[in-house]
Amino acid sequence: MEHLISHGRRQIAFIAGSPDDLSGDSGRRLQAFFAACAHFGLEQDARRVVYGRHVYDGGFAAADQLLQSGIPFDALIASNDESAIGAMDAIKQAGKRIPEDVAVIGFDNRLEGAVQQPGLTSIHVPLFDMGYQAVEQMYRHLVQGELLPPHREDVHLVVRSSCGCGGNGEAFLDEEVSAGRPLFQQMAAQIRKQAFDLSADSARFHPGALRARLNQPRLSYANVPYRIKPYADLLQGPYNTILFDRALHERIEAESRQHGTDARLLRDANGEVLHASLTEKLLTLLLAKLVNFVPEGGIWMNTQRPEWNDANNALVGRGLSVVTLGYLRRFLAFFRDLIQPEDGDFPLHTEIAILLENIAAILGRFAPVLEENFTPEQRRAMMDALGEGEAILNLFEETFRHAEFTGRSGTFFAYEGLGSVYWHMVSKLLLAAQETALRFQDTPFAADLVAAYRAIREGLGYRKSPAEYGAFRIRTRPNTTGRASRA
Amino acid sequence: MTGTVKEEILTRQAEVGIRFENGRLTFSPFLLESAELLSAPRDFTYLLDFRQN
Repeated sequence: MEHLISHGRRQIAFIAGSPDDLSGDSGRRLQAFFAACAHFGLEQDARRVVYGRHVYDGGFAAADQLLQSGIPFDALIASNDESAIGAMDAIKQAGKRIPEDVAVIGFDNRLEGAVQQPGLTSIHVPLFDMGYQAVEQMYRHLVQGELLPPHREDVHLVVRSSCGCGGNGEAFLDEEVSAGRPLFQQMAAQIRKQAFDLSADSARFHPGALRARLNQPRLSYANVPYRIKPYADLLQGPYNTILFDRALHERIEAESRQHGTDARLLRDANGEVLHASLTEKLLTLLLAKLVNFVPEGGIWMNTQRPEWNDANNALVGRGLSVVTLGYLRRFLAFFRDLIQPEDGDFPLHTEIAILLENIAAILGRFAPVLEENFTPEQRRAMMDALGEGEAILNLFEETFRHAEFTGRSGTFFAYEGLGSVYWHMVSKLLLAAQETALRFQDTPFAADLVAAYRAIREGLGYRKSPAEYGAFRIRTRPNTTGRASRA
Repeated sequence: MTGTVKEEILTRQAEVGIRFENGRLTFSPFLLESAELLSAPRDFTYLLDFRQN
């Protein structure tokens, strides 16, 4: 509020959470808004408070309601980023400019906010620290019987452009990435020097086996009855992106009763299973990611499916994924090393060949900018070009996106929540630290890396006693079977 | 705690240092802690599944 007032805004509207939650979180945020209005002597009008239920659609509808009501407002605070992004879209569609006509500030500092036009100014909430503190307090309470006073983490404003400042949110990256530790920087330099050698993962077991399969049409595609909407529709509703093809689903089910699992594979016009080489399959995976590339942002997730190992997106399956972009970079290095020594022809299905040529042309067109920094207009232009280039090939893309996620039940993401994600991240960190230590075992960093690996390991599972986890012995009464004590 | 068990088993196995290299098994005790090895034979106590009783 103070920041908006410093920009000369006095008619500040508020998108609250849910009207059903006024005794909870939504109510507390709303009270804070009223208190700030009173503190700064702003006129209050009930019409300037609307409810966005903390979701995109809700934010869109709430801003629409504000605009329809005719009450003037020159600034808008949303109680989370998702509803703020919905509101920004509604404001822009109504022909108003952000921040000139309406300044907007969100809450959460989500990565998607950073790539809005203009970039969304928001409040950064230190979720990692909050989770860490919560677990530590629980632990100390359970093990040492301490009852600690509530701990509060400070939040701070991350200034981008939507509030009227000219910033573009370096704050996000500065904080998260550039932890300027000398060891980190030395290692980064070393990694850049070393060629990625991922094909070694297969070569370790069967030298040459992968290469031998590059041109053999022995692989198939799953025929998945979901379709990603056309690019223009994705822009209209970025959180509602897929269609379920019920007719196809029913046909596949019926045919698989008759023909077995082959009926679940993609088939040609004659009903024969479509075969592809390893090269085509790897290429399809790569192209399916590239069509969703947002320069300087990440990979736009629009399958409504959680992406592996991306803690933020695992919970939602949407938004921009930096982790996926990181994986893509590793994948590219691997693919390049695999393909470069080959000379000869690679037969591809026409759709894949066309998409490859389209994307290569788009990357070529933007090559000069890729070396420099993108302006928001250039970023959008490249995103549009890639997104529309995809149109011819929804089918293959869809097939691949879903084929990747076969190993995990969605229930995990829905019910286990933050605590689970926290442990999950630490255990992934353990594995990554070990892989890194092994990879650099012949370098001067080896001892530090092993020490770091062991330090992480101390925080996990088998290094701790049951008592440290808060386990206690169950005393059994004399007249019971005694099983509980043995269990 | 979902997820931690798998990574702990994977990392623990790798600590032993047995790896495939170029189609052959190799052994490198780089991550092995000597303090974790027994210096003399010792009994190992484990639980049987009581549900079979």
